[in-house]
Amino acid sequence: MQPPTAYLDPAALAPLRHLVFASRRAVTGHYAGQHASPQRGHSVEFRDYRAYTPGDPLGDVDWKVYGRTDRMFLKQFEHQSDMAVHLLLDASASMAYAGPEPVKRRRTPRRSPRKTPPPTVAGSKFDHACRLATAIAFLVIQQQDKVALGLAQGGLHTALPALGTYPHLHRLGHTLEETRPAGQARLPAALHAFAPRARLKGLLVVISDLADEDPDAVLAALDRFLHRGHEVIVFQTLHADELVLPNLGSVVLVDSETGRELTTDLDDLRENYARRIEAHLTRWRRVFGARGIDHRVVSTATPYPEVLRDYLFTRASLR
Amino acid sequence: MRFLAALGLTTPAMLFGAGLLLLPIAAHLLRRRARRRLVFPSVALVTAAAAGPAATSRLRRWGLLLLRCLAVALAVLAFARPVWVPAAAPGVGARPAGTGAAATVVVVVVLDRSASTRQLTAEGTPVWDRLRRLARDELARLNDGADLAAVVLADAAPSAVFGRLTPNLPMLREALSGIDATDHRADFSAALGLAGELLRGGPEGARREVVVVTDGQQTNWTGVAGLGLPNGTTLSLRGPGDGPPEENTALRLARALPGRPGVGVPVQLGVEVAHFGKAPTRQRVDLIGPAGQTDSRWVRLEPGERRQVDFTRRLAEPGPQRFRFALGRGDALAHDNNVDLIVRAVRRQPVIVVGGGDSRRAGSASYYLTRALAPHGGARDRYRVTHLAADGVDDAALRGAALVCVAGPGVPAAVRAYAEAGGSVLVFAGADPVRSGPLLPWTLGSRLSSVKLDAEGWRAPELAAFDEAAREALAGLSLRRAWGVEAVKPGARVLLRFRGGSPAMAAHAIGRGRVVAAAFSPAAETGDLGKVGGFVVLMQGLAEELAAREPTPAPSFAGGPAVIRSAIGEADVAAAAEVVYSPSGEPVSGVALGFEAGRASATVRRADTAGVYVWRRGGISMGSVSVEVDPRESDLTAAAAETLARILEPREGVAFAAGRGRDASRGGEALWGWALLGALGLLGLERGLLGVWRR
Repeated sequence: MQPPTAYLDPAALAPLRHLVFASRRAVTGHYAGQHASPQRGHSVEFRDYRAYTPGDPLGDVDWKVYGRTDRMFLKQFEHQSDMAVHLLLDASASMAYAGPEPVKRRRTPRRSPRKTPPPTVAGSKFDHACRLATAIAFLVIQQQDKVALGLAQGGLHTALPALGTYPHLHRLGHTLEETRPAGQARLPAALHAFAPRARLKGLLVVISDLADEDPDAVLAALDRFLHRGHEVIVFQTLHADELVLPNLGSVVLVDSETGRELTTDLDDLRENYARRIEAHLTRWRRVFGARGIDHRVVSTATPYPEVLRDYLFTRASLR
Repeated sequence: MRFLAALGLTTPAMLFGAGLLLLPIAAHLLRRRARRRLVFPSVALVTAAAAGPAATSRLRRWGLLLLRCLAVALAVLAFARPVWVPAAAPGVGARPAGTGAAATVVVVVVLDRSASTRQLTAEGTPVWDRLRRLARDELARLNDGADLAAVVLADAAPSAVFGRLTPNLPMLREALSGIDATDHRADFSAALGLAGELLRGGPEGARREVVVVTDGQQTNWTGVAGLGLPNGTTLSLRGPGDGPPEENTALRLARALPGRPGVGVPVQLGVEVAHFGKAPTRQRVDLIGPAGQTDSRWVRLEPGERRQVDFTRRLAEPGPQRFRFALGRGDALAHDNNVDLIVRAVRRQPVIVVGGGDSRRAGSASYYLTRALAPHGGARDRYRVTHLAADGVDDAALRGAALVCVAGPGVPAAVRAYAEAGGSVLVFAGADPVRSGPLLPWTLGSRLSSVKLDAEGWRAPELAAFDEAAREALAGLSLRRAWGVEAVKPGARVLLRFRGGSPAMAAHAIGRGRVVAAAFSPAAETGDLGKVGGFVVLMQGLAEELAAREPTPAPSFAGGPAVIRSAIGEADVAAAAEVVYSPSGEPVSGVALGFEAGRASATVRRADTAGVYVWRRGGISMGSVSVEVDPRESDLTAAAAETLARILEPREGVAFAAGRGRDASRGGEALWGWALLGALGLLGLERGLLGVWRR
């Protein structure tokens, strides 16, 4: 079967089908589902008794208890509803980094026409983030839940509503394929704009490199979701070169978003940079940890199924 | 500066390798220029990380560049092989303490340029180059314009550069550049004598010094006596300081036997191979003919051994032919590995028969002699026989003859002159022989009748051609008339006797020639000797042996005179304003024309180069001669310092500065090992720092 999007590889996700992408918090939904909900429903799982108050449906009165105690009690049962997962992807220019371009060498022209060059493996941070987001969407829809998508590019650039159908997965994949990273993300603005679309308690997954973002502003934006009872997961996606500087010697670095240039020798500052990046990530980890937000650093060197599997295993063990 | 002055370089040409310093500098600059532009997401973090180490890393890069440059410089210096020469020998070149700058120093440098200085050192450079550099260094120590100097070139005929003392030291040093080693043997007695003359011509009160720059070859210094230096002269010695090379094998004294062979006659071409070395050697000796044909022979030689190597050839054409002996393997001295040999072949050797009656009358002695020497009467004969009456013989008639046979009755005076000049004479006792005289090896006595030759005693070299059958045939003949011998002269050899013991044939040397006398005659009136075939064998054998005794010209050595004898006996000497060409093809000056052994000759007063000198008149080659390197130059053994000190010990008021000077290239303390070690150490340090900084 043709996959709905180039970013999705069902075969790679087959080992993850038995895992449930669920929230650790109770969620609310319109329909019955498999996730715990604060609502009371009519399932077989008994939960509690409560005293009858006028207006309660008489059908819910436990008549056996009434016969023994001459008091009217209502029997309450657990309610499980479906879940909406809101994906917010960073589509800024910094997400387009795919590593240093190979040095162009002058070649002598050949008489025979050259074959078309082999397709380059898309290895940008955005590609990696898209694969991860599509995989999560696929798993969520497969478990009968709904998924919504938002793209942060100068605020909220694109938003798809939460739906749980495969055509929706097609649309989601197509949207990601059509998107080209550019400009700045302005993640807080995007979160603020995305918040009204997530009214029911659910799960918010943010996939971003958090480059040049103000932690306080980001946290303030996330608070809107947290206050509504959402669980928030942040996948901080970084290229392998951002974690360990490439071995390029003396280079002129150009900031992908601001265009600022820096002439330096990467060999000389590799050690110092490693300390800096570690401190940078630790800061984000502390910021998110203080609010109970799951924070994961994702390297493009690690395949996304592996990232997802590790994360789901970890969540399962903490339940 | 003092340090630099004491630093010498063996191979300064290697300093051109300093250009390699451009490599690390270029790499440094290229590294700066070859920056890549990289669009990066986290420049802010990189900027923060780069704030501190930028200055440090710049310093590190410059430090690494410095280390690399130093390492390359030290490696180049190591290849230039520096040596540390702390100070010159006392009293030479340096001014004595207490002497003002105005005191004049007169220095004569005696520079050895004998053939042995052409030897190659282990590094492949000629010793001559070092000696010349040493001489130049000696001159460089003097004050330009204040001191006087001269350079005496010590070869076979020592001479002074510019012929006198000169204050123009730069020009003198420059002149040394154009001087090369010779093929001569050095005459140090004459060279030191000339140095003494030059010193005496110097200013009064000046300090006099003689510096002998030599390779110290023992054979050159053997026999040096009487330095001939003025009182108060300081004499010192400079040399390369090398030991003798491991081996040198020389070819010398090439000769042909017979010296003037007939066409088609076997001729022995020989050369002496001498080995000077510490270990036995096996050498291939090649004989290269005029047409390039090569014969080879292997010879094994022990240290110090000399061996004769002969090749037998038959020359197909008359005239001078050039052969070359060559060693198959090179050694320290290349100039003695080749020797040329000029062999002049004659189609029919001329033989003169004197007296003996009419050669056309059968039965006469001259008739039988002519028939025995030229039995075919034409071109097939090995000898061209000319009969002359006794009264028609003069010097001109005998000139060029390979052999003169005298059949009596008398012996012309011209024959004696011919013999004394080196010719061979065969004298038969006729019917009325001359009984005694300076030409004869004996005094004849009474007449003998019916005698026979003794079958024994045919062992003389002159009779070596006779086999058993020929001896028996001749011994069976009865000679009706012969002569007894009263006395054999001292020094004469009896070759053959009659039965009964009376000498029948005897030989003795006269002048440079040789005379063989027979106490019998081939004439029919004395017996049947002339009629038998054995007489033809006897005459052919005697003629071959006697004609072969023509002396092989003594080899000429470079630095001495060389005589070229004309192949044309009738050469017009007066009109022979010919040119003699050296082996390199240049006309030679100092040629004297004259007569030598009855033939026109050209004498080159000093043959400078080993090789073949050719005497030409117009397009005609008059003759040629081969000149060899003096054999004594092949023994490269250097005299011990004590030996030289003994030869040059103080005498006649001359102070000898003991000890041989040091050549900057050989004598100093070698520093190149340290330089190489330093280069490796710097490279190691650079690698280590790089590793630590990048970790």
